Order: sequence, then C-alpha cells, then structure tokens
Amino acid sequence: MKQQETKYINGVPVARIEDYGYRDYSILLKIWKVISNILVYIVIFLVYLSVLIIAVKSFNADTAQSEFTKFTFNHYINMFKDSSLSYAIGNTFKISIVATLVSTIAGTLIAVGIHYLFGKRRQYLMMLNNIPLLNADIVTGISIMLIFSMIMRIPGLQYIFGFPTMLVAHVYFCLPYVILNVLPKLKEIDPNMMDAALDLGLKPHKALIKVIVPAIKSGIFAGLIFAFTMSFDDFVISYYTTGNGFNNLSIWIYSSIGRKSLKPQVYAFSTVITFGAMALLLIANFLSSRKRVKYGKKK
Amino acid sequence: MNKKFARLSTPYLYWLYILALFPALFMFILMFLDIPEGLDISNGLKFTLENFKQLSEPSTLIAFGNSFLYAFITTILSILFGYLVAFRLFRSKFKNKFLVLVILILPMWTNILLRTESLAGFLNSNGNVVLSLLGIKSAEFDLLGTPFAVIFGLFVTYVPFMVMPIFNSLEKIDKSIEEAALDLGLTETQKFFKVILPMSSKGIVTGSIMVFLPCLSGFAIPEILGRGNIVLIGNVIEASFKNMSYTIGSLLAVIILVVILLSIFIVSKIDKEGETLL
Amino acid sequence: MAKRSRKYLLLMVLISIISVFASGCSGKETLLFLNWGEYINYDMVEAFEKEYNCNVIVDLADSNELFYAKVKSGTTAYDLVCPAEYMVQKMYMNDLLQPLYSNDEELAKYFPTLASKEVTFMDGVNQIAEKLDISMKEALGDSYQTGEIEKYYMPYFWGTFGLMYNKQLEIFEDKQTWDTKDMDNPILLSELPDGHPDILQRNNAWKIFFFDETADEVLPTSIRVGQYSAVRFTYGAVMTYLDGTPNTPVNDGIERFRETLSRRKYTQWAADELKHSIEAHEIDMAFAYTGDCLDMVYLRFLERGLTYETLDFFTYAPTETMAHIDALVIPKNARHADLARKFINFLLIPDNAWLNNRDIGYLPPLEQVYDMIVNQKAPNVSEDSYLYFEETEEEMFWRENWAKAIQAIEPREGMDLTPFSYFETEDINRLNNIVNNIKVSK
Repeated sequence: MKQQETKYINGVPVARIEDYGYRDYSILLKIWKVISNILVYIVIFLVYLSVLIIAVKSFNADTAQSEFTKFTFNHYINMFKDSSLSYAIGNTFKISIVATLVSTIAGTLIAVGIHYLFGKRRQYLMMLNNIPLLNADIVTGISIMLIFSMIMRIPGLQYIFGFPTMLVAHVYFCLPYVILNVLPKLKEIDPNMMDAALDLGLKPHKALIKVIVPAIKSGIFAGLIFAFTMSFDDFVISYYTTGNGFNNLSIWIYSSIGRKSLKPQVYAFSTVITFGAMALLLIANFLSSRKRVKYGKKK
Repeated sequence: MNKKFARLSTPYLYWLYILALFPALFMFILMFLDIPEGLDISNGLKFTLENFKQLSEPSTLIAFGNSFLYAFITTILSILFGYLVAFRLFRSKFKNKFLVLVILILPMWTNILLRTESLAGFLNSNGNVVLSLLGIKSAEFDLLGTPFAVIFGLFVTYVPFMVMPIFNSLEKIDKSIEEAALDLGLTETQKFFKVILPMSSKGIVTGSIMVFLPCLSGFAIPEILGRGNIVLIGNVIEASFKNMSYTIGSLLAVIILVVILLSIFIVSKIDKEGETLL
Repeated sequence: MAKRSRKYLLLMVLISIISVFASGCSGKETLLFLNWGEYINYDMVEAFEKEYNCNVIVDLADSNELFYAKVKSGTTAYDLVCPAEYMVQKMYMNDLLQPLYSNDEELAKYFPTLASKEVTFMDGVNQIAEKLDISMKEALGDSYQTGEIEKYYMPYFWGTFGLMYNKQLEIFEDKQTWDTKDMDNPILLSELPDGHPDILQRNNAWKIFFFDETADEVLPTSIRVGQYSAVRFTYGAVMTYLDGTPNTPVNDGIERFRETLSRRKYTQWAADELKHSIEAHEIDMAFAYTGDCLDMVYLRFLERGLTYETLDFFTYAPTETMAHIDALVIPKNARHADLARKFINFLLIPDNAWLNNRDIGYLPPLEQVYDMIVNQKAPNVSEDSYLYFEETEEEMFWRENWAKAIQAIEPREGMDLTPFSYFETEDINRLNNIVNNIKVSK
C-alpha cells in the first residue's frame, strides 16, 4: 500500500478516513460527479437534438431535405409567402393565444375556488382535474368530437366545428396545467391577508384581484407558459376537433408531411419560435437578475 | 365568505362531467353497438358483442403488449436519466425554477411531428442532412424501423415530463432534514439512498405516469420512427377511427381509458393535491 | 401595478377577440376546398381569388377513406372535395353529392369550354370514366342511367400506379433497354434516351415486386422494399398481380392476400412517405402513384439541376395496373356550390390548368394541357399576366425535362387501366387486421 502524505494543521496531524478503518471512496464520488454531469449534458442535448436538426434544415436550400445542397437564408425571408402555411400559422396563434388567455383567467378563478374547498369534494375535483391531463390525446380528441357531433345536430349549430370546437378542446386540456400551477402558490399566501383586505372594506371580487392575484402571479405566469406550450404543440386533439377549414400548424404539417415536400419555411418558422423564445427568456432572466443585484434584493 | 369563493369551482365540475365523463360513458355504450359506419344509426340501434372479436386478433393483443413494453422501457429509462438531470439541476447553482421549466419545455414549441420527422432523418445514414452538412459520407447505419428508434424517440420527447415532477419533489425536501442526516453520520451516498430518494419518490411516481401514459397511447412517434412496421395500440385506435369504425375504436379506447383511470386513481392516492405533477 | 397589469390583460383579451372576429367576417365569399396536401398550385388559387374576389381555404386529407369520412361525418360543410373515382362512387351511393350540372343547358352555362368541346379529355380519362360507369351500372342495376355519374364529378388530375425504383442499383441500372414486345407505342418513348429496367419489363413487374418465385429473376434480399399502407391500395396491387384486377371481392382474395404479403418483410410500410424514402435512398423500390414520383422528380430538375437522363430514381407502370382519376365533386351540404362550379370552370381553361400542373406531377385530364406541356409551350399572354413566364434558359430547361418526364409516365397504348371499386368499412377492417398481423409476425 502506498504511503500517503499526512496533512498537518497547526502542527497536529489530521486523521484520514482510513485511520478510522473506513475506505476512502470520495474519489469514486468525484468520478461519478463527472460522469453524471456528462450524462446530464447528453440528455439535454438529446432533448434538443431534433430542434437542432430542424435549425440545420432551415438553412438548407434543398426542398427534399435529403442532402445539404446550399446554405441559404431564403426560407427565413420567404417565411410567410406560402399562403397555406401562413394561414395555418395565423390560426395556430389565434387558437393558442385565445385558449391560453381563457384558460389562464378561468383556471385562476377555478384554482381559487378549489383552494376554498375542503374534504372529499376537493379530493374528488382534484381527481377529475387529472383526467384531461393524463387521458390519452386520441381519447380526449375523439370524446370532444363525439360531443360536438351531437350538438351539431341542433339546428343553427351545424357549422360549429372549427374555431369554437377547437377552442373548447384546447381550454379543456390547458385548464389543469393552470390550476396545478396556481394552487401551490395559493397555499403559500397568508390566510390573514385576505381577511385583512375584507376587513378593510374591499369587496370580495376586488380583494381577489387586488390581493390574491398579485400574490400568486408567478404561478399564474407559469400556468400561462404551460398552457401556451401545450396548446401550441397539440396535434391529435386539434386534428379531431377542427372543421370548416380551420387548420392549425400541426394539422397542416400532418397533412403535408408525406407529400412532395414540407415547405422549408416551416423549419425556419419553428427555429425562429423556439430559439427566439429562448433568447427572450434568457434576456428577461438576465435583466431581472441584474435588477435584483442592483437593488440588493436577494431571494 | 370562503363558501362564496368555493363556488367558483362548481362550473368546472360540470365542465368536466360534460367533456370528460359523459364521452367516456358514450364510448362505453358505443362498444356494444352494431354500427357499420360512423355514428350512422339510421338502421336502428342493435346491441352486439361482435366488436369484441377485434380483441382476438393476434395483432391487437401484440399491439397491446408492445405498447405496454415500449412504454415501460421508456419509463424506466426516463426515471434513470430524468432523476439524474433533476438532481443535478437541483444541486446546481441554477436556482431559478422557472428557467429550468422553460428549458425543458421549450423544444415543445416546435411541432412534435416535425421533431419526430427530423429524428427519423437523423437515425438513417441515407438522406441524412446533418451528415451531409458535416461532409461525412462513409457512415452506414439504419436504425429506423427498429424498436430502438421508437424508444429513443419516445424517450427524448417525454423525458422532460419526468424531470419536472422529480425536480419539484426535490425542491420540497427541507434542507434541515438533509443536514440532520449528515449530522447523524450518514455518508453522502447513504443520505441519497436513505433520505433523498424516498422523499422524492412521489415525484418519481407522478413522473412515471406522465411518461408512461402518453407512450402507451401515442401513435405518431411509433408510426414515423418504426417505419410503419411497429404496431402499437395507438395506431390501431387511430386507424379504426379514420376508417369510421367508431365502435371498434371505442372498444380499444375504453380499454386504454381503464388503464388511465387506474393511474389517475394512483396519482390521487399518492399525491392528493397534484403538487408534483408539474 | 396590479391595476396596470389588469388593464393590459383586458386589452390583450380584447385585441385577440377582435382579431378573431375580424378575420372571421371579411365579407368575401369563402370556398372551402378539401384537397390532398400539396396538390394545388397556390399561384393558380391566388389568380382565382383575384378574379372572383373570394377566399379559398384549402383543407387537407391524406387518404380517400379520410375524404369519405370527412364528408360523411358532416362536421364540415365543404364546397369542393377531391376524392378518387371509387370514393366518388361511394359518396354518390350514400347520397352525399350534388350534381355539377343536371342537363345540357346547365353544362353550357357553368362549363362553357367543355360544352363547346373546346377542351376534351385524354383517352385514359375516358377509359377510366367508362369503367366507372359500368361498375355503377353493375352496382345499381336498372335504376342507374348510363352516364349519370358523369354529372357529379370533374376530373382534376389522373394517373396510374407504378413501381418507383432506385435507378442507381446495379440490378436496375445494367439493363435499361426497351423491350419492344412490351410496348405497343414505341414512337413516343423511343425518343427518350433510356427506358425502364429490363428486369421489370421482361418479367411481369408485379411478380418481381411481390417476390414471386416463378419470376425469371427474383430480387435479391438486399433490395429494400417499401409497401403501401393504405390497405385498399395494397390489396389492389396484390390482386392486380394475382388476378389482373384490383377489385376481387375480399372474401375471395383475403387468404391469397395474406400469403402474398407474408413472403418477405418490407422495410417500410407507409403511404405518401414512400416516395421520400426512395428519394433519400432509404429504400430501393416501392409501390406508389406514378404522379407522386414526378413530384419528387420535378424537385430534382428545379433544385439540383438534374435532367431526365441523369435522374437517380424513376417509376415504371406495369402493363396491367391500377389507374385513378382524382375528381372534383360538390357535397350536398356545400354552402358555396356556385363558387365551386366557378372554380371547376376556371380549371377547364387550359392555361389555368397548365399553371396548376407546373407544381404537380400528375397527368392533366385535358388533352389541350397535355399538348402544351409536351410541346413545351406556354400560354400566349402578355407580360403582366399571372400566366406569363419569361423564357429564360432555366425555364426552357424545366419545360424540356417536364415534357420528357410527363411523357414517360403517360400510359403506353395497350395498357390495361383499371380503377378501384370501393370496399365497405367492414372489409377494410379485415384487411387492416391482416396487414397488422403480418407486421407483428415478422
């Protein structure tokens, strides 16, 4: 066994772990740390792999995308030139923004409602709340389609399929995300705060807006981001609940993916959206952290 | 006063009844009906058990088996790697939870079909844009159409849903408990297995369900990455509805629904408030 | 702070709601067209929109069965739909269609170019239309008046089914000569510098595709083959190979169908994606629409500068093969049937159809359009017209190769073109199950 150097502090030898009869495994821990760090980077890279490939494709002049023929910016310049694609992109934003706003507002109110519910009733509602979240997309999509296929038979509603049906579907699966993000924040609020507001003469709905909403706004915002992401990304549920020509981007991609070529502009659009959002958030985060440092606020 | 606010949740209850429970009931009835095409009941309602014959097809059984197998493998992989990522993120200086969340869900801003299609192009050396860009011509591989490709696609798509619940549950562990564990003489490794892991198991269970269920019922990823050679139950359901045999589609959907309701029941037992779900 | 954010929120809600409604009621008439993906030239659509001051919304579907499902379920009131002839038949029988015209007077009113015989259909189109009419008669008996179905559809594009193959493979490359006995019309094709692989012509091409051991030459196992996943087509191909017709009743053919497909594992089961896989050299051979192949071929002309002679893949239509007409029909619940008729009439003007065809690899139904393409002519218009294309070197290169490619997929004389007949949902289910059973057993 190799003799190890003994360390001294103030002339007194420091005992090593071996001196107590244990083996020193700290080197293994260090190796593990390096390996696990590498693994973490690999996983995050894999999660982003497809997005990176799409970014590569967005600069490729070849429409068939089976070979990188020439570097080009044209797909970015012509992003909205294809009328069918820009129509689909427009619809995607329309549905996602409206669905996000509706579900954020409604979800916050519902979360407040659930917050003041107790016992069995609360548990029951929380269980039901998981259904839209965990149900298979295809089952959800078909369910809502079946409901509206029946409603459609009511005279005057025969053209209901399209924006309204898709909106209901999107709000349906976005609500649980908002609720689950808002509820934990509600729990963190001091219950006396609400009482104080009411004692000071605020009407309940005013108190809700002036006291509760500011206190839970980080939860609301997280819910909003989630709702938008889910709505923006959804394909299966939109596919079953759309109608009357209201196509969003995923439906457009699904129908044209096997055809001649996916218009390469769609790669450019996706790249702009993903990396644009990332840049915005990083900037926002950087600015807010600088602000915190500036004012000496530390959380 | 509280009652007045509690009332805000009542409409949601009815909303869920109409959009979640009622259609489930409707599908349950559909699976016993004899409707040759769509919802066309002009020939009158006839009860039948004919639809159940679909379950005796070997392909349906194998599709169910495959779905469970693929979902299971993906879930295990996601637990291993998802935990690692969550734990590292939790331990890093990176304390901004919101940013963690954003980094994990940002790829979802790109359409899932587009992402899967790009992965498919990458898993094959022919017609591979990335290899062509890098000038690599000698590579010869074709992983498309293999179970590996499908599991790889499912994993990279759904692993963020594992990271988030675990990260949330790790965040909820009281710092002082960790300190107490160390004070009581546990090593770092022991502390992890005896304290941290059990305390974050809630997150693992909810994360597993968040990964397992979409893998179980999905059809787009196996279709594209499996080159149409791998049949999962989602593909059979989708084909049935596309082909207007709503009755058979409903039958298979109801079976999936039972699995899902069971999972929801488990979630509600373990995590009453859905705290770790997101 | 809270007050301000509330105001912002309200403003955002208001803006989004207004934008939604503003876009919903722009006052223009809207034509809702259910079409295949990338099966229309949007330049042509724009021209139509301008001429009739309307909007055209193109909705997409990816199989004939889905076209039927979408029209039948009634969730959307489409004004114009583009299924293949066998789905036209099924829609007609289920009373889902309205006639485009009910008598000669209306024909002259809505479709003057057709009524005055200014435009005429190609022989292949007439051949398929005749067979469709016969099968209508067979299905409906005396209650069906000959020619009745013609009033319900207008051909949009047409074509045959063929075998797409990788030309660079040794087995296909070595022996690209023309076998004259297989070709009754050598004039058109002999002008072309190369033909189709000898192996496909010498044998019955279907035999090779389905790994028939009695073929002169069996494909080596290293050849990666793609199979069509829409079962109506798979079944049709198998039955064309076995019986010479794609329409053998399912009860008679199902066992042989199973046996034929079980012979080998297919590298890929897909629909329209197959042509991409061939293009990317992921597979070597596949059964696909010949028009689909040209879609990919056109990209080779336009983007990689390849000529018809230097292409790396092409398609071969066996002598006995299936053919299709994708036809425009107006569903019964259409809201803008008149606008739909105007759209159909717009495409009955050869110049417009020519423009539409520039983007699509299928064959034009109108003889006049075909002649324009083959003779490399463009519409005779002034420079400011949407139909004007400057005759640059690039444009002439394109026209030359376009002409060659389209002649190469035009059915040879003596070819037996059979359209599909429709199957009931129950039969399609049975075929789906067979295919799935085969997939999981490999």
